[in-house]
Amino acid sequence: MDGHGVYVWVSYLFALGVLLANHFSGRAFLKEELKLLAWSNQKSKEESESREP
Amino acid sequence: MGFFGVGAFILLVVGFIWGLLIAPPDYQQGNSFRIIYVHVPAAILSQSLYLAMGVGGFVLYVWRMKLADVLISACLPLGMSLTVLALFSGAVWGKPTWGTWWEWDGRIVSTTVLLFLYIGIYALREAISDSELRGKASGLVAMVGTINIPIIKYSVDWWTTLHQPATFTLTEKPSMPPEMWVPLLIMVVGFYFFAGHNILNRMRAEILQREAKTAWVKNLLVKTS
Repeated sequence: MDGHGVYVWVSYLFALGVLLANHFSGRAFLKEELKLLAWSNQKSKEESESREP
Repeated sequence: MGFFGVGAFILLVVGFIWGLLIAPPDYQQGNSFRIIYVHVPAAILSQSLYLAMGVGGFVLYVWRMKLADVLISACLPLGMSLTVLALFSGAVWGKPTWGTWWEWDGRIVSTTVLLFLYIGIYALREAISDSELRGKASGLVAMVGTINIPIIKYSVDWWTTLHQPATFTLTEKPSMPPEMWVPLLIMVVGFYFFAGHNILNRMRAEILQREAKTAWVKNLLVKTS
C-alpha cells in the first residue's frame, strides 16, 4: 500500500458528514415547519370552537 | 424520500463503494486519486448551485417571482457546504500529490472566492429582515457573482496551474479508462440527485413557512392530519 489511505478516508468521511448533515437539517426544517403549522391550526380551531355559543 | 432521495441513496452508495474499494489506483498518484470521487462532484455541484442562485436572482428581478427567492434560500446551505467539501478534499488531495495543502492556484483561489460569495449572501439574508429587500439584495449579489463561475472553469486554461484539465468535456473522449470514469459519473449524478432531494425539501418547508396563514396551507394540513 502507498500510505495514502488516511487522506482518502478523511475525505470520504468528511463528504459523508456533509451529505448527512444537509439531509438531516433539510428534513428537520420541513418537520419543524409542519409541526408549527399543525400547532397553529389546532390553536385556531380551539379558539373558534370556544367562541361558538 | 421521493424519487430524488431514493436515486441519490442508490447512486451514492454504489459510487462510494466503487470509488473507495473497486476502482484501480492511479499509476502516478496511487490511492490518493480516489479522492476525485468526492472532490470533483462537490466542485461541480457547488458551481451548479451558485449558477442556479444566479438564475433565481435574474428571475426575481425580471419577473418578480417569489419562488425564485425561495430557490436562492434553499440552494444556499448545500452550496456553501459543498464548496467547503471541494476545498477541503482538494487540500487533502494536494498534500500527497503536490506536497502542499494550499497553493495560490487560479482554480483554488477562485473557488475560495465562490465560498466567500456564498457566505456573503448568507450574511446578507440574515442581516435584512424585510423579505422583499432581502430577496433583491441576495439576488443581485448572486447574479453579479456568476462571473466567477467561468473564471473557475477556464482558470486551468488561462493560467499556469497545478490543476489538471477537465476529465470530462462535451466534445472529447474522457482522459481516463472506463473503470475510473464510470464511478465518477455515477457520483456526479448521485450528487445532483441529492441536491434535488435536499433543495426540494427546503423549498417545501420555506413555502409552507411563507404561506402559513393562507387557506390552501390550512386545507393541506386538514387533509394530511
